[in-house]
Formats: sequence, structure tokens, C-alpha cells
Amino acid sequence: MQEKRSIEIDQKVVNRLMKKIILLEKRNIKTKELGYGQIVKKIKTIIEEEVECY
Amino acid sequence: MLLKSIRIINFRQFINETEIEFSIDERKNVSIILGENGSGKTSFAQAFTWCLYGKTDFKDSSMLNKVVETNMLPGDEECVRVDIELIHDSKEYNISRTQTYKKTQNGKIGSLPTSFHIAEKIKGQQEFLKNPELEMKQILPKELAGYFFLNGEHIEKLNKELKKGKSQEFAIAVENLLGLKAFLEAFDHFNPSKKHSVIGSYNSQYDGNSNKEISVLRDEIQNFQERINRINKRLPEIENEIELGEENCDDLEATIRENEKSADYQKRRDGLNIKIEYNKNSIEDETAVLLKNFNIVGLSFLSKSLINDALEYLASEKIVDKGIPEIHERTIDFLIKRGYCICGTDIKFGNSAYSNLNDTLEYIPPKSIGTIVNNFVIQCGELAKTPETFFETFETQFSHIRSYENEIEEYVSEIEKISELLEGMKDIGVYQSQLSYKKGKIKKLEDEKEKLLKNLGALEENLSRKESSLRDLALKDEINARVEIYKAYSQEIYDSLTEYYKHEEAEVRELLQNSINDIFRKIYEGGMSISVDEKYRIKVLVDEVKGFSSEIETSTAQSTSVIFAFIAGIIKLAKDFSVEESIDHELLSASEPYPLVMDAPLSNFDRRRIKTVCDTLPKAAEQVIIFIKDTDGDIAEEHMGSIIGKRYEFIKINEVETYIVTR
Repeated sequence: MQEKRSIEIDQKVVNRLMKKIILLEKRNIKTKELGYGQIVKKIKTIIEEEVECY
Repeated sequence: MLLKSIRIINFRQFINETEIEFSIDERKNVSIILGENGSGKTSFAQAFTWCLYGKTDFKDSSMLNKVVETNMLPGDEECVRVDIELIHDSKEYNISRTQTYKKTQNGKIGSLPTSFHIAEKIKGQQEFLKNPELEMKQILPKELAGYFFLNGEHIEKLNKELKKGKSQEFAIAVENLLGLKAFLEAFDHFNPSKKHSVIGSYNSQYDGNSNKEISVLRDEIQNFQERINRINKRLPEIENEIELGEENCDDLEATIRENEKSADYQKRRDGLNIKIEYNKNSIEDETAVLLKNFNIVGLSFLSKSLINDALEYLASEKIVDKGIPEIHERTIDFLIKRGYCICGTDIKFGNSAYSNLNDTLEYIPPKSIGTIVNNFVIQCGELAKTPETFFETFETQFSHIRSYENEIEEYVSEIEKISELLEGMKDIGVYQSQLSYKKGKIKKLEDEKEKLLKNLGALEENLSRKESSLRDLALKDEINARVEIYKAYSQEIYDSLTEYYKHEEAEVRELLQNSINDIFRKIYEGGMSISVDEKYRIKVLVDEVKGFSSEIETSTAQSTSVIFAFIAGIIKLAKDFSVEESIDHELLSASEPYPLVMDAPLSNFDRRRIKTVCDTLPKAAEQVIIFIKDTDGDIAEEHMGSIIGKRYEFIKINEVETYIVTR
């Protein structure tokens, strides 16, 4: 666990999120399902859910 | 992307409809199209880029077959159409471009708007895609098309581009092909400088109701961020402009060096022209003085000898007699008729005055020329007084004029020689002024960059301070603390992705370099290697000479090998990455196999290298389509016969009509 910007950041969570996000991007490159706003919203949801779980 | 077929209608030499299928068989992945010179190989190869991007290299902008064009009547419409069927990302597409031409009443051919469509085959049905240009960019960006649809005539141009480094779009296109696209997309979606990105939108999510200071800080941060964004947007533009400017300066300096002598020649020519002008003015001045002198004393000078002879003769003949100067017979008649003399004496018939006057008639004109001769002698006396130096002065002035004229002839002849030497050389004066202008522009850009960097440093420091203050305040209430945590994670993900990407990109670039070198060594079999830098610029290095690491000038065969190796290297790596499970780098996207379409690829090589090219390229690329001269057909058969899946031949009827037959 590292403390960054006065907030504790769990690097494991960051790594997990990174993979999820890249997989989402890879999937979206193929399907072109989500536009800019939609994918930003989706990424934020993924981050918030993961951080909440933690 | 693999090409299934191409159908062309009235495109250049190809009258009516012509369709050919390409081999997509893994074991027989080569399609070969033979044709004699001028049969339309290049036209056919260009049909691909025309269909996909609406671009060709032809000077004639009309793609319409000339026979069809000639047969059109006023008001008639005819269309040129190219359809390409391809497979990309396991989907089947039909890409179509149509250009309609109309003959006007005065017989001119005008073109109507082009139509471009991409349809995806879904369950046997064609579904037209909404934004075909964008879709095309996804399938194969235009920046890379020149490398995949390789035209032999462009080898040198492409080689130069690869060495100089192309646009950022080119580097991004290569990165996309090599599986880094997901990262680039993620960067765009996290980009803190974008208001609606993940990080940007968290910035605007802080609730300012709990603490007014939060809303002030939020606005200040947004303001700093916008200013930083503007600088960050401008900086790469400046760097790009500086880089381009420096390249231009290098080119200009090289041109100036090559044509340095032309400046000396031009200087000499300008000097000679000034001398000619000076001589012409001098001739004019000297001639004016000479003519003036001649007009004054020329006549007496020329007649001097005659006058002297005449005077001598007159003196010896005693013609000058008792005559009264300027008195004529008419004067005497007048006095007699008047009846009195000048002295007042009456003149009456028979008196002495009358007799004396009649006697005088014997000595004056017309009875006597003595008076005239007397007058003549007086005038000759005046004329004979010519300055003794006239001839010398005249001679000197005339010789000056002649000497000026001779010099002009010499100068003109020298100017002609210089002009011959200057033919083909460039006027470096123009290049020098361009160079000064460019250097001045670069200096201005560098000053702007320095100023922006200073501002950026100050802004970033301020931003960091404000963010820190905002963070401290945000963490004091639950809603804002949550936003702050999400934002901190977003920023951490963005930073980690950036680090990971840098590492992956460097590794992929190294893999690409190895892949290119593998192919290059196989094709060229020389002691040289290729390096690829972070901007995907390539350098050809000599390995055989110990300690020699500079780039070298490449021959046409070497340049062609470099281009083949570069593009085949990308294709091979993309092919290797095309099976997702095979990627060691788990976050890289699976890439796509690509075809290699080459016009006259063997023409620059000797026999040994033709064999290596024929061996190597079909192994590197998933699909190879080659247009070659009929005379190279046997060589291609000899080296690739077992892997050729489709064979076609162009039958040239005349310069504007070609048909295709299967072999």
C-alpha cells in the first residue's frame, strides 16, 4: 500500500483496474459499441466499483 | 486485412467490368498478375488506393477509360467503379468507390461527386456503415497505405520519408498495427487535459456547497489546466515546426553547397553586365563629343587640301581683278534707272558717270567672276584655319569607342559561357534568402518555446499547489473525499499505464527492429543493419566495418530492400500478434494480418536477390499480391511456383484497352 497525494493507493487495485480498462478498450476497439462519453462513464464505474469493494 | 477480390469498371485501361480474386490460401498465399510494359499493371495496382482513399498518382485526374469517354454523346453519363472485398478482424467488407462522368453539350467531360461506401456482410446481408472514412481509417490508415500498396516508382520517396521520420499520425498508425491501440485509446479517455475525460470529469465533480473555497479552487485549477493544455498543445506543434524547419534548412544548405559555384558565376555575370552598361554609356558620350567636333571642323579638315590647291591656283591665275566686292550687274542697272549715284552724282545717258558705270560692268558679275573668286578666297582663308590637332583628337576618340566596343564583345562572349555553365545550376541567392527566413522563423519558434516552457513550469507549480489545497479541503467532507479518492486512483492508473506503455512500446519497437533486420538480412544479404528510433525513423548502418556506426547512402536495390524489410517486418509482427493467445505482452491488442501489394517488386534486384525476395516476402506476409513484367514471370514461377495460388495475365489490345485472363 502506498500513500500518495494524502490518499492510500493500493497498487494491486491499480493493476487490476489497468487490466480491466485495457480489456474494455480492446473489446471496444473491436465492437465500437461505446462512444467517448459512454466509455468514460464505464471506466469511471469500473474504478468506483473496484475502489468501493476495496 | 486480407484482400478477397477486386472488381473494376471502366477504370483507366480496363474497359467494362473486370474482376479477379486473390488467393487467401495460407499455403499458397501469392497472387501474381503478369503484363507487358504499358498494359496497365500500375493502373490496376492504383485501383486499390483509388478505391480505398480516392487517391492515385496519375497526372490525368480522370479515371474513365478513354474508349468509353470517346464514345460518349453530349448528355451521356458513364461511371468508373472499383469494389474491393476484404476480410478484416474476421468480418467481411465490401468497399466501393464510384465516380460518375458526364459529357456536356460542348463535348467536355465533367465529373460528378464521388460516392464511397463500406458495407459489412452480416449473415449474408450487406449492411452499409455510417462513417466509411472513419471505418477505413480503422481498417488501414491512409498514412500506411503507401507501404502496403507498394509502387516501385515511390521506393526512393518512401525511403527518404522513413529516414526523415513522418508525421505523428504515421507513428501512431504503426503503433496501432502493433497492438498498442488499446493504450492510445485509454490515454485519450483518461487525458487530464480533456474536460470530459475520466480525470477531467472528476475535476468538475467536486461539490462546492460544503466549502466555498473548494469551488474557488476548482475554478482556479480548471483555469490553470486550460492554460497548461493550451501550452501542451502548442509545444509539440512548435517542436514539429522546428523539426520541419531544420529539415528545410538542411535541404537548403545542401542545395546551396551543391550550387555554391553558381553564386560566383552569377557575381561574375552581374559584374560583366555592369561593365557592359558602363561601356555603352562611355561609347554614347565619346560619340557625342566626336560628332560635335566633326560637325565643327570636319568639313574644313576634309577639304583643307582641296582649298589649298584652289587658292594656290587662283593666286597663279590672277583672276582676282578690279571688281568691286559684293557689287553685281543688277546694282549698276538699279543706279542707272534711279538716275543718281550713291554719292549723289546725276547719271544721265551719255554723261561721264553713265559711261563709268557701264565700264564697271566689265569687272563685275556676271560678266566678270573676279568678285566671286575674291569672296571665295576670303572664305577659303577662314576654312583653312583648321586646328592642327583635329585628326589626333578624332583618332584618339574613335579608338576609345572601338576599344569600348571590343570590350563589350568580350564581355558578351564571357556571359554566354557563364550562362552555359549556370544552366542546370540553381540560383542560390533565392535559396540563401529562404534559408535566412527559415532560420529566423526557427529562432522565433525557439524563443516562443522557451517562453512557454517557463510559463508551463510556473503554471504546473501553481496547479500542484492548488490541487494540494483542494485535496486537503476535499478530504474533510465525505462526498468530496470520495471524488478525491476516485480521482487519485484515476491519476494513478493513468500514470501506471503511461509507464507500462513506454516499456511495452520500447519492447515492441525492439521486436519490430529485429523483425525488420531478419527480413532485411535475408533479402539483401549484406553486412548492414537497420535501426528504428522512437519516432519510427530508420537508419541503415554498416555492420561489417568495425567502429563505423554512421548512416550510409543506399543504392536503389538497398533502398528497395529497406522498404520491403520495413513493411514486411511490420506485417510479420502484426501477423505474429494476430493470435491473441500468442502475445506474451498481455495488455497488447491482437493485431491483424495484412497483405503486401507490390507493383514491379523484382525490377530493382539482381538474380540472387530476386530469389531471396521471393523466398522471404511470402513467409513474412499472410498474403502477397504481385504485379510483374511478363519477362519476370518465369523467375517468379521458378522461385514461388509452389506457393502461387492465383495467376492472371493482362492482354493489352492497345494503349487504352486491356483485358485480364486467368493463367
